[in-house]
Amino acid sequence: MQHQTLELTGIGLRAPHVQELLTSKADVGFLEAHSENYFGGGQSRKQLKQIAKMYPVSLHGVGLSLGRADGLDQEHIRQIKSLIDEIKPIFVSEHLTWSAYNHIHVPDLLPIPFINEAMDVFVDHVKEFQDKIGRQVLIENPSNYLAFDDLDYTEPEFLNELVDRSGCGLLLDINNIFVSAHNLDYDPQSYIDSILIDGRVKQFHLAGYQINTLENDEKIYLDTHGKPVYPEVWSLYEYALRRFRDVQTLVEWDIDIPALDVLVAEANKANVLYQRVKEEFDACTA
Amino acid sequence: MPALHNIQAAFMHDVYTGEHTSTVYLNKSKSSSPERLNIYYNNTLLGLTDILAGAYPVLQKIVGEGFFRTIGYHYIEIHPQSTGNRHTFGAELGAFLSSYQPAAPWPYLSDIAAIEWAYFQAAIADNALAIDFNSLTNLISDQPDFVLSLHPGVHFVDLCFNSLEIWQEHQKNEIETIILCENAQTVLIWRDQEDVVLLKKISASLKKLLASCWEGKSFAEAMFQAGEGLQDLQQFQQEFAQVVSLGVFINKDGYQC
Repeated sequence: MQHQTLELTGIGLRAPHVQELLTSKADVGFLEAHSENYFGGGQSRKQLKQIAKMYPVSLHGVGLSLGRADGLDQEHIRQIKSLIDEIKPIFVSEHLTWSAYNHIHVPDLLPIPFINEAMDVFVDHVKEFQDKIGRQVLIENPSNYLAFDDLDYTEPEFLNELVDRSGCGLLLDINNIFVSAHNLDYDPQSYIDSILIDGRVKQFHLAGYQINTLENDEKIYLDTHGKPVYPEVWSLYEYALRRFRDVQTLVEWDIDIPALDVLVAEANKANVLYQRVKEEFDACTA
Repeated sequence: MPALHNIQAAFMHDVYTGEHTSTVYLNKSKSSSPERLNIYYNNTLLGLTDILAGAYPVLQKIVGEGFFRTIGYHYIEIHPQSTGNRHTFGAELGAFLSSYQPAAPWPYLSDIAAIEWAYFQAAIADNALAIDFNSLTNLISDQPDFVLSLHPGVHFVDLCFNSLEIWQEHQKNEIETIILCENAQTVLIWRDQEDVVLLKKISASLKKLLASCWEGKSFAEAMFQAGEGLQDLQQFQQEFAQVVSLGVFINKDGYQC
């Protein structure tokens, strides 16, 4: 089962596709559901349970705010735990971000200043979350639009130490690496080279981005998940596949959501790349 | 380096106000310009108004997308998102609209907001098993002091106008004009065992019964309250039987998640 899902790319589970996915089995490795969309009960939660009987499902959180300087919301953790117990996902993932402070939240993923204090907070929160849900969480690198001053770590250094100290895994979003590298002017391949190869990377994300021009005429890449994966991101994905090899991949598409077969076709492009890299490695080691 | 608390407090202030107080913590290169900070401010405003639009589709249809977003921006200034569960954002919109001067030409908007919020919450409330007539009858005879619990998706909403009619009309593709009139009424909104959200005008007596159940009073006490001023016993019995059969009440330990 695990081997099969590795070779088939997953897609994000989005409301317009639910009925079609339930009616006939789509050729995808797994489906990723946003945890917070299924808090509580009712029709959508019932449908997710049905989906989970047909497909492997991973749960991806967007509202827990592991990077917040104050304490984690225990009710939020309880809701995620309830969902995990019911759905039994193949992976649980969160972000290397924060979105809440002092009882105020935002529906966005805010950047972490990579300083020692943030590391201690993040490690403690990941450990607390993993203890409470009774399993490992994968942490996803975000897309960044700005950088803080006086940092103690680069982002890959921060991720590596976070894994070492908390026991979490990594979800590398290849599009986010590409977007952040453009916005903050660094080399995306060097970023990938900096992440250690010891099985810590468990999943890749792929998505489309949007190019915006700011008032000061800067070109900035926004992680909008509203377009096909860009050719440069496919190239970076192939680069990451060659470094980390057997890692599960997911294609996300959140706005201007296309028909299911368009999304599955996008996922199949990742399957083809995965197979090509795998066959090359197999030929080398034969 | 200032504490993480200071950075997050400043950043959170900026993403809600559009100010740039946190630029002092940012790298001085062009990659930390105020314009980039505005990306997070815009994401916050757009994200929160999108959440409101998801919960209040009829409200948006009535006032139009542009004015709905204006309402949203003013609402967000007073009521920031208070939990990471997006389903809880927007609870106070009805109350906010009742004193929001630019919405004065639509005096029924608070009613519509109350219906939509109850409908939205009913749809996503925790699952629970409805009590059946046999179990209810047994409880009445065996445990006179038992408390009859409401399904977690049950809401009863007091309206000032014929707003339920307006809301129902806006479920159609082609909307006909409804004459607005003052018409105080209570609407029961809940989710049945098939996960369909239902809306029903209810009598003052049934409202008293539901309110007493909600407050945790015993069934006997709730029935006593409902009976005060009751004019048509048979009609009340029929109304009560109907809501029992449609899953408004649950067994005490009927929560499923």
